[in-house]
Amino acid sequence: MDNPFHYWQLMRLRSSGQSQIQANLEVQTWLQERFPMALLEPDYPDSQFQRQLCNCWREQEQDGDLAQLSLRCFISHQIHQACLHLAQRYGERYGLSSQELLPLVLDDEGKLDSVYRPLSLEILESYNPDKSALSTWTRQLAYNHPGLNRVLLDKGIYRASDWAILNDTNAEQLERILRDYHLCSNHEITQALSLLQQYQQIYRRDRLLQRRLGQRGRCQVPTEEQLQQMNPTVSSGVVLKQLKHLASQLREYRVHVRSGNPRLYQPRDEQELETLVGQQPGDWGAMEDESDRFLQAYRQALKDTLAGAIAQVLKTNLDKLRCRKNGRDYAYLQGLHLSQCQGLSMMKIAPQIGLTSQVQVTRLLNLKRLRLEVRHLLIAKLYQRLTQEALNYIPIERLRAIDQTLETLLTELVDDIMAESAAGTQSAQPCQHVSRFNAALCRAICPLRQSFE
Amino acid sequence: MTYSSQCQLLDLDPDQGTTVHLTTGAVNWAVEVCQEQVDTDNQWFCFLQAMALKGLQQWLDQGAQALPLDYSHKAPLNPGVNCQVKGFRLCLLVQGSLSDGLISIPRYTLRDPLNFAHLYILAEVQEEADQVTILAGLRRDRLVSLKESGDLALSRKGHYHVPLEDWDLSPEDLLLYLHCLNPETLEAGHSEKQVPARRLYLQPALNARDWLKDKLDSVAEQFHWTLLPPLALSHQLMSVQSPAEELETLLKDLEQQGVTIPETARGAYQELHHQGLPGRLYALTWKVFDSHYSPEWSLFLCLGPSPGESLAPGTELIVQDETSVLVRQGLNEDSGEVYLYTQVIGNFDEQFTVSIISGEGTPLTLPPFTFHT
Repeated sequence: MDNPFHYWQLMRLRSSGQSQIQANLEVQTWLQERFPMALLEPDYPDSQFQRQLCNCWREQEQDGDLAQLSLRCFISHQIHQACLHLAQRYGERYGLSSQELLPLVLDDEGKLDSVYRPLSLEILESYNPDKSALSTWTRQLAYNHPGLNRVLLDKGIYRASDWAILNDTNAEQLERILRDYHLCSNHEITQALSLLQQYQQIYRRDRLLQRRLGQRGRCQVPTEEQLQQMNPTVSSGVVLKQLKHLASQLREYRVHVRSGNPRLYQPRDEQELETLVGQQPGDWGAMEDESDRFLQAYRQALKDTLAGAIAQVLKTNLDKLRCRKNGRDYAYLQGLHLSQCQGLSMMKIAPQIGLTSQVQVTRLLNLKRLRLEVRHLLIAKLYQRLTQEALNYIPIERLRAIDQTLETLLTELVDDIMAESAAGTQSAQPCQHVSRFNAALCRAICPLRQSFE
Repeated sequence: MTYSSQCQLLDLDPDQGTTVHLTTGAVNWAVEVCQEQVDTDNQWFCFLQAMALKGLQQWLDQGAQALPLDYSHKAPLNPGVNCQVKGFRLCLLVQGSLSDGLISIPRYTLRDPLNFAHLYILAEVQEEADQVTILAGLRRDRLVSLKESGDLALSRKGHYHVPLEDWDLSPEDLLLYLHCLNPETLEAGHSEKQVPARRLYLQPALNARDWLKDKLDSVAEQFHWTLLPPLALSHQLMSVQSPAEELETLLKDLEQQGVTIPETARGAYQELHHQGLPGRLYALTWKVFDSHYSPEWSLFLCLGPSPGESLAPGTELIVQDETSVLVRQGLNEDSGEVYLYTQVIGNFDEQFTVSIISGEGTPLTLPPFTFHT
């Protein structure tokens, strides 16, 4: 057992919002008397210990309430950790802090006979030691907490509800997943298929009706009435339990698929782009087929066309933003200036342009799309100029190579005194090395900002 | 961080650069447009599909360069090729909250020679959050090579199941193609079924002009053509429809669509099973008198099923002259059409070669039709 003290120390929140460890002497003494070996043995499996405590509590042995409290202590640490992980992963980018999350799920005050039912007790009551580890079960339920999900969604992080997953699964998919991934028997598959069908007939119909009335937001747990309609022959509690089980099987498959395709589900490249300012030239290996002469021609052509392309893209973006209700065009321009010419982080920029989180700034500036649009405009201009051929005939294999060459050339550092003076950074070094793209962008932004003032 | 907590994080969808928040108007449109579906299963799928379509549109609109999305406002929910951008035929596919590892692609989007998809786009719809994320793309030529390598399973419903990891285009790649590429680049050399080469000199031609004199030449006989009675004669309907009656019914239908065949036309038909393909081919020929130029002749062709059967989707009818393909008609899976028909006109010294490709992709080229005096 790694941390035996987790079984008598409760992780709880102080009124100040700080988390705090509170040791329960009664539980500690009881554990040390009842399980002295387990607590001292470093290799003693947590799972076995938890099973013993569970049995003690469920069979209402003497001191069963102390066993229950001990498990709640363990759970409180897991909940705390889950929140820290979320904040660690998404904190900076999405403005998510553990202080916001903890009050929602860390609500156990360590009382034995309280009327209030903390989340840890709910987790414990639904726990089955034969199916999963208590730590896994705790995290699963903590991440499933409606309040927590609401806060996450506000920050731009969505977690599909069980009901959404059940809505979006068709019979063919369910059959395949149960057969190939969960290795279910034909009998189990048939039962699951009919359950899904009963569910969808009622739930999807009602959901669409609600949506027609303008309702939105997360799917709610099916009502008593809905559950009765789905299967009148069984109690609604049983139907609900079956549905949750089915959803958990689908969710397990879902996570499995996603972990196999991180490119689609955990992309990080955008974040990297934000720090492109002043970065070393990119991957020259991708440009092997471009001879020096050709690169020279590219550089010359870029000199003539880059400014025009940037101006064109900026103008369209500003026009679009101006047309919206809450005209964000100045915020956009200012944001671009602060990030690309001044080198400020998105986090620092946010309050200066009336936004609250990094992700909002990232979304507004959409730097990746901006660069991409500029490059694609350039491809059209350069290809014709360099090859004397119409763009229509650009071969598909060449296209990506040209795009990458351009990206590398735009990332290339240049001595740019103009950019420095345009950016108006007094504190900067006399001769600044900036990327070709940033130099041109800042030169384009300067007169636009002046026109606002 | 432990493995289990990593996995739990994978259950979350953080807002990405390609995540689009649908406007209320877009969601309302999606809710309404799916109401026409009677079947509840279809209704939900159509709802997601409509949301995906609006999401794609909003994502394309985010850029500075115009990428207008065209789709049919009446029937936007076709699971096949369902929208277009700058001449690219797109097949937009929907991933719901499940995140399945296999994406099902209707087979005909690959096979249909006239309406195949240039690009496949995979969008994830988060219905609860009114969000759509553009996940990835797949090029036609890549799908063709996946299919040819034998790695793709074909489902009972005629869909290919393409694993998620084979979707190798990023959303940025999709934009690159849409901005800078000509859709034809994705067609050339990758047509699944090549038009059979014409065999001008190897095969003797048949003279359709003989039909007007109520006779078949030896080539026609050798290729099992059967002469049909003159069109002017009307036929009594019998319990089993004769080829002549079938043609008559068909021509009546066509007349209502504005296709008229003069009564002087004469025709022949052949059962294609003689050549190893399913179906029945009708040919009608007549002289065109109203031309101001040199006299011309016309050939009308109609490819239909053998009695009691139906033509397989993907069946094609192709007419070529000595230099190029004049007509290429294909039978769509969902079109509901029973026949393929076409008409060509040429000078007396011109000849036409007719090819047929069966639903399984077996090509057949018939001896050319000529019109010698």
